[in-house]
Amino acid sequence: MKPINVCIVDDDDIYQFTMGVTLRNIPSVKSTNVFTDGAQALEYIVSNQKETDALPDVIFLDINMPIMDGFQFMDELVDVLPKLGKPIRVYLVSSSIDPKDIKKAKRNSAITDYLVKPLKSELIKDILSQIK
Amino acid sequence: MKHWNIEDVSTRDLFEKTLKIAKVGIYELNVISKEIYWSSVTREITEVPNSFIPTLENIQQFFIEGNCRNQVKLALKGAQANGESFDLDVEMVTAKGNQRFVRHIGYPYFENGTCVKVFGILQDITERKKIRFDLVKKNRYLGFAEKMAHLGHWKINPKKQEFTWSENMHSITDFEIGTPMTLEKYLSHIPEADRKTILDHIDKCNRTKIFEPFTHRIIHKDGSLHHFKVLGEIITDKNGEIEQIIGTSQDITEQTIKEQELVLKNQQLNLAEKMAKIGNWKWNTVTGEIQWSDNLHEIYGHPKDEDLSYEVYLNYVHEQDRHLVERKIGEAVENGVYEDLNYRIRLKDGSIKTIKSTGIVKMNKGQTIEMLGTCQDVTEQFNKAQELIEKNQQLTFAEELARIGYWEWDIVNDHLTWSDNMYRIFGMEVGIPLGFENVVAAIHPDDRDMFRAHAEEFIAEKRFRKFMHRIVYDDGTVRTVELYGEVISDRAGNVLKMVGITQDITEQRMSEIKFRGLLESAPDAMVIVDTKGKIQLANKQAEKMFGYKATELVDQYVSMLVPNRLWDTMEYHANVFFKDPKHTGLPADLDFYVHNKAGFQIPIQVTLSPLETSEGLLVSLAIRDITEQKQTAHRILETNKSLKESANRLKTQNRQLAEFNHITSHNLRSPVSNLSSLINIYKTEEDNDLKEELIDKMESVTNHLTWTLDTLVESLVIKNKTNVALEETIFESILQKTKDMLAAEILKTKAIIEHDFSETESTMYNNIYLESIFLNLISNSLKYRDEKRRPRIFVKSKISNGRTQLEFRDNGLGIDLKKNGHKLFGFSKVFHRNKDAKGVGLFLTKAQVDAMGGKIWAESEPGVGTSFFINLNH
Repeated sequence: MKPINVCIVDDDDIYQFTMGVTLRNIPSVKSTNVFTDGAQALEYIVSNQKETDALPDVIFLDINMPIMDGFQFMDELVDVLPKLGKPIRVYLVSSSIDPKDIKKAKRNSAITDYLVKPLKSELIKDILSQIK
Repeated sequence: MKHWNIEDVSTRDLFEKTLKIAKVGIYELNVISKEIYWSSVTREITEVPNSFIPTLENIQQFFIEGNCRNQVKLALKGAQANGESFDLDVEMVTAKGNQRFVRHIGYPYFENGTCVKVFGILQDITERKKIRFDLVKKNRYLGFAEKMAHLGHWKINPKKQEFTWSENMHSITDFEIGTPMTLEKYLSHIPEADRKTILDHIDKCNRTKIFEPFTHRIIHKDGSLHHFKVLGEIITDKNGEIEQIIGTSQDITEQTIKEQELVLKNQQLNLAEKMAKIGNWKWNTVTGEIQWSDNLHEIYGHPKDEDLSYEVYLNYVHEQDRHLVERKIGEAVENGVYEDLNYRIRLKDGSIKTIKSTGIVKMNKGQTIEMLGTCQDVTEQFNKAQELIEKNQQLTFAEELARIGYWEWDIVNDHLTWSDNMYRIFGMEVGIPLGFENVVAAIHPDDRDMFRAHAEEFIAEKRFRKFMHRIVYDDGTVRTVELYGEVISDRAGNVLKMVGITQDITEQRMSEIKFRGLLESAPDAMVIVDTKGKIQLANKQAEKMFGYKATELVDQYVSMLVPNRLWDTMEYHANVFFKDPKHTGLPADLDFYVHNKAGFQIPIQVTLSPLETSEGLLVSLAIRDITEQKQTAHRILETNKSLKESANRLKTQNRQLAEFNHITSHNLRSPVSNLSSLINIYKTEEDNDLKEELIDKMESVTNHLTWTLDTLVESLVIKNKTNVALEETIFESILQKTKDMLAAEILKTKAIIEHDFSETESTMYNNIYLESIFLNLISNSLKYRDEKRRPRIFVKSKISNGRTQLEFRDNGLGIDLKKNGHKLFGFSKVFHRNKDAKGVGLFLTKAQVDAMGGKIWAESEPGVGTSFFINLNH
């Protein structure tokens, strides 16, 4: 099993806490990076774009955040992705079951899936196991 | 020169007898005793009774006054004084008033150098003159000169072989005057063929002692042959022997030729007259004697041998023209001027001719004595002219129209000429003669006055207008006819006649009535106009709609029914229609109106249809009153408006619902999902420290959830609160209160808060809301200040578009509105990494502004500052 870099972009500290506890218990997770808004996450990726090992394999991205929300982040990431040395799976994660948000997420081909909070540990394990 | 001894009674008797044949009268004036002798022929010529005693004075009257009388006086004087004989042609008036032409010859007789007698002859040459006059007259056309016939007197004494010839006898026989005459000499001038005739005649005279008139020829020196007529009387002595033969020879060559010529010319003239259908007439108004030329007899169909008088003539004149003719002739007699006259005559066989009569009047002493002139039969010309008019009219009118009759009304003579079909239209027997009143009698009683009035009007105005009237047949059938025509005047402008056609339009009339019925039954107001826009017909519905009677509408322009402001619109649509006339409805949204008699405007919808008629294109306008539809439409519009408003309200509520949905799906679900995650971890976690931490986290989440719910409830209260209390709120005091509440922050940040409420100091608002708005916005400005500079906040009130507007301007961090504008006032939206940011302030502020019916928006530039604008109310 390949070691996986996980990235969490969410301003909810409780969520950050619960995700951290869940990921700690998954052996394939090599590292977990947490950002409270899209801008910080984007800044990290851009600055590490040559360091393939430091880049995340999967991003759990929240929609509602200050400074740069999930969709704004994706708009920027699409430009950056081709320059990166590896593919990044992006999961949009939100407590919203608003169909508008789901539709908007599905339209964006760079987004792998839309997940509704709370995320069960089994779901997270399943997602991570798909990464080769 | 040898003079006859007129003392010799026997000679005189014989002479008189002889001269009687030639209508020669003798007279003798005894210059000494002033006695005058007139022979019986002289008396006949002058038409005096036997008892008349001529004197120098009373004979004057017989010579026409003037030249003629003076000439006679002078001649008599000359004869007495100088012994001059005279030979005059004089015009005489007989005692009975007859005019005669007379040859007046006179010789003076001298005794002892004194003139004692003047004697001579009077010859009535009226006939000859007349011939000459006729010739002169005819020569005007034919160019013949008149020549006179001559007479010669002779006396033969056979015993003495003595020939006594008058001077004139010499000249007519072409012998030198004074040449002694012998039988041999005379015979030498006679053509051989005729010599025997003369010798035989002399022989016969010797045997029978009776001189029978005979003719012979004589050759003149120039070789010309002359015809002589010889009359004579044989005078015998006691023994029965011939003592003397006296006689008259007349050169009748010219007469013969002239007579022959005259006969010829007369024939020619007659022919010419016949061809021109002209006849001559002469009427002695004194004696009443009337002479007609042959042709005139023929024209009138009056036999030559039948009596002729004014009454007979007048009887031929058409009864309807008789009065006119009598009047005109009366005027001619009175004024001496014969005016050309046209009239009709009715011949014995019943045929009618039209006569054109011209003439001149002869007057003497201011009295009309004679009239003469010509009559021309112009029936054919008249008929031809009439035929021409008829043909023309028929060609012009009849081609298009069926059931027509042609008529011509000679107004002067009140004579009507009708075509056969005209009689049939009137249900009358073809050909019966008609006058105006006959026509009137055939007309429907109700139309008669109108018919007369029209006729009078047309004559007065010299203009015909078409009109209609009805005819009633004997069986009671009523027909309707229409008349077209023309008034014909002479050059002087006198109306002579009317010509025209009459059309039986009963069937058309029926179709018109049917059409009218159809029109009346139409549900819409129908108005039919011509291409000029003149109304031709209007139905009952139109009367009802417009408040005018149909009679008030007809012949008026349809524009009288349209308000002035719509004339251009009407004209435009009329032009469009006439470019391609077809059934057209005017656009439904045209918003067209008509106004009725009372001036009330009615919204209408119009449909135009072309109507092809014999009188050209007509347009039928179907007009529908759409007042009700308009009202309905208005109601629908109103309903629509209120529906729109409801929809807007629903939309707002929907948006609020969506907003609320959004809030529940995010802001309520996320703490719940956090709680769920924490509990799941808690269940599986064995580490007690971590479990402790989880409990703390759960408490924090629960608190957040409570706060969220409280805030939502608050916002719902604000949004649903109706009848929020309004009071006068003074901006400056609100700002002061806000400053007091934020005193610590202001002091800490050293913020400068300025204001300008000069434009409007206060408004009617909810005090608490406005305090909350001030507090939220100013605290935001302080919270999101730019650390690089000292915070400056400026609050201003103003009136914009009638609304009270507030502006809060700061020099803080600013927000990228392009990215975040849509969620600026959303619940729990934060735009800065600030620990105190909860994303509630603007959410609640908007809820408050909305609740008061206002509007809030922002302008911002990151790094420069933000301005919030609030329209406090609508």
